[in-house]
Amino acid sequence: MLFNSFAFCCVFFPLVTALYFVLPHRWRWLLLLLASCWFYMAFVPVYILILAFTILVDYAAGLLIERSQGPQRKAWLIASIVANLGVLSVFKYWNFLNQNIGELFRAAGLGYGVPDLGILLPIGLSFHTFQSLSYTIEVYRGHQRAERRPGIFALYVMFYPQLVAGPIERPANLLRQLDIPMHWDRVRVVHGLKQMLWGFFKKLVIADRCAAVVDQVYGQVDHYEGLSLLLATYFFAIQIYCDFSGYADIALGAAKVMGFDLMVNFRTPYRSASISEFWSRWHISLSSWFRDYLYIPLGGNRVVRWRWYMNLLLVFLVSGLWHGANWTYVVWGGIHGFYLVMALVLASLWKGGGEAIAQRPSRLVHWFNVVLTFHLVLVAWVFFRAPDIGTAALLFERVATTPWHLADVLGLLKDMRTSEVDMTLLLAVLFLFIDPFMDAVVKQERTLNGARSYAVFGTLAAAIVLFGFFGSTSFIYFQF
Amino acid sequence: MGRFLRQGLVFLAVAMALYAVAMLVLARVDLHGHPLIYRTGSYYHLKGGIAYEKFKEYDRTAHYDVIVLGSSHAYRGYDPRVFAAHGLRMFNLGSSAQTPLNTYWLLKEYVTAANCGQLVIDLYEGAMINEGLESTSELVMNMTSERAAIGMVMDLHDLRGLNLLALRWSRTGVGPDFMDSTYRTGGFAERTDSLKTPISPKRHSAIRCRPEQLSSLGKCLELCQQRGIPVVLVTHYYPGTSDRVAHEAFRATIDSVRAPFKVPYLDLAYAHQLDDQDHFYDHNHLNLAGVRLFNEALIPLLRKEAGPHQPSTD
Repeated sequence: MLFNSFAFCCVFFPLVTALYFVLPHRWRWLLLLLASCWFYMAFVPVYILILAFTILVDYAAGLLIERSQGPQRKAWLIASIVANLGVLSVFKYWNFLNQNIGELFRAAGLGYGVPDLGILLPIGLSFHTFQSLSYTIEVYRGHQRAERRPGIFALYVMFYPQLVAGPIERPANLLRQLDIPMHWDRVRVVHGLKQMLWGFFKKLVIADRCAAVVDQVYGQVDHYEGLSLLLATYFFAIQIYCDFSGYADIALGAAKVMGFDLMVNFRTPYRSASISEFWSRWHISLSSWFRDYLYIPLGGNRVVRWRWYMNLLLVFLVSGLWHGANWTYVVWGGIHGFYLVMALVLASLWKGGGEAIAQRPSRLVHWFNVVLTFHLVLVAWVFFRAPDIGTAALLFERVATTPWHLADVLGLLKDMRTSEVDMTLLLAVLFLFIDPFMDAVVKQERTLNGARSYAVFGTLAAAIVLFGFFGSTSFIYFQF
Repeated sequence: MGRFLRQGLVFLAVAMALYAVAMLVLARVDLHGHPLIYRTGSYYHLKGGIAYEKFKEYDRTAHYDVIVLGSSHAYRGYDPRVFAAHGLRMFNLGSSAQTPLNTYWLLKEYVTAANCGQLVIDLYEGAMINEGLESTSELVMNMTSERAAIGMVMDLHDLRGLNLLALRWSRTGVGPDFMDSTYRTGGFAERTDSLKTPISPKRHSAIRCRPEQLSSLGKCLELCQQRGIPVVLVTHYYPGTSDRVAHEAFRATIDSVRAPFKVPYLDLAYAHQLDDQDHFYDHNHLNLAGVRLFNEALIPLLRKEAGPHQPSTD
């Protein structure tokens, strides 16, 4: 079920929330579990079986790890990891691997007849697999007691607000909260609803509007020239941020209404002054997952320098692959890994100067860094959005070699057969100015009292109805 | 809880007030000759054109021997002048991409047993797979009935419908934004041009009628039954190159909807010898030459379905 659907907004969410507060605490887990199953089955019902498999394996693995000692303990953890990654491999990576092997065979002049699997990628597979894995790893590390109630564990994996696109929760945060009797708290409920409203605004008014332009241009890269391609890439940067962080805001808000605090996933990432800062502000639950369960076990930065660089590169290549079974995602991850390694190399070469600037960063230098970081991220987004590496390369080539004529953008307006591109541009620019303010408000780092709060959120609601793109378009991160 | 509800009401009041002010500004301030609102969403329809003329002309108190409802196939395919030549007073209430959801509200507010001798609902696959926004947009801007406009928007289950209604009210008292020169009389719009190049045969692709449109069609037939309006379902001539397999499936779907009401269905899609290029002006609309042939063939069939009640001058 999509958050931006009539069924969710007008039936599912109000009904589940009302029932949640009406029911006594001992039955709420069952309500949330059934609601989560319903929510997930609204996509492809049969895929609930994959979730059930993951839940059963990790529930059993948790108990077995806790009861075991020594090498056996590790063996159960490995069994859980193999089972989880096995599911991920079959449903997400099999066809990718198979096609690449086929290409190699054909390049070598050999025949290859292994067919692809005719299956759809289960929605949010990478998210709930990682969430479930974090549980068995934490039990193995002794940070988390194994959950004995299968229903509660199932709810931990399936909690509907974050089931299909995160945040990727940790047991220490979410599992603990499932035992706390939540009470109706008007202030908290209002905050949750406000956060949802902000999420809907980002998705419906900004992301989906930008998507119309991006889809048009990225669908025919060879048809457009410099300025249009550039405009579409800027729009994509805004689209993906609003789409994904919009989803996160709706998820966090919906959970908050019921009393749950989910992990913060975004902190105005485009205001980052470096790539490492960007990754501490973008998709925080995933980057911290990779930090805790891959980067640090690899040795992190407590190894010789070249190994440190390799660790960084490897983590980002895997992170790219996590996003999708396509070389474009691998390249995207590789670019970010490269940026980070280069930053470290440059910092080590220019130690004195860097420290001097770091000690007294002028406002100008800070904003220069913000703009530079944004554009480095923008370059990588081209690979993330392009359907294949050839298209991404063509886009760079055309931006560099074709003339930057305003007439090309006017041609784009004509192709869109609407006069909405200018409105989208206006709203997107406006959004970049209000985002830090609104982000602080919905995260309750800044308070708005009385009339100002009504004015701000009333304006958001009116803007959603007036300028929203409706039609229940999916969220980009659902495919991961 | 009481305070929460009070807060909610104040929030709604503020949001509605801000929305109303914004809508009024966007609907009343013009840019390049059109209200600003048309730059904010492609689903808005300008006031005016065929639908505007049609509702201005339609007289709910008059009696029509035949009223036609349906999509552009209807308003471009049933010519009141041909019907008049046969002694029949006909009015065409067809509109762009009209879906059964829209047909239901037009039927409810504009057609009664007293003003309609026989109702024709033209059926076309394209309208059944459409959610109804396009048609609702055109009709809401041009219909005279407030109830029909509100009803259509409510049934649409789409927030954009609210904007359409707000725009309708914001433009009250303002004249049409444009006129359509193809409009003739009795709700009919004529095209005399022909296809310049042959249509290539359409490859088969399965169509899936939307459940809400099928259910609305059922509601239309039920309403006709309740009001005692004789109704005939018709599919007008299709080019020979169109997707016959898809149409067969469509006919089976329609048969399942009409069966409980025992309503006749004149499926004339391929019951003709027309030339695709000479008698169509695009891949699925008849031109005037085609319309005349189609109407001449249809009228006797309608008389037969109507029985002895319909006036005959033949």
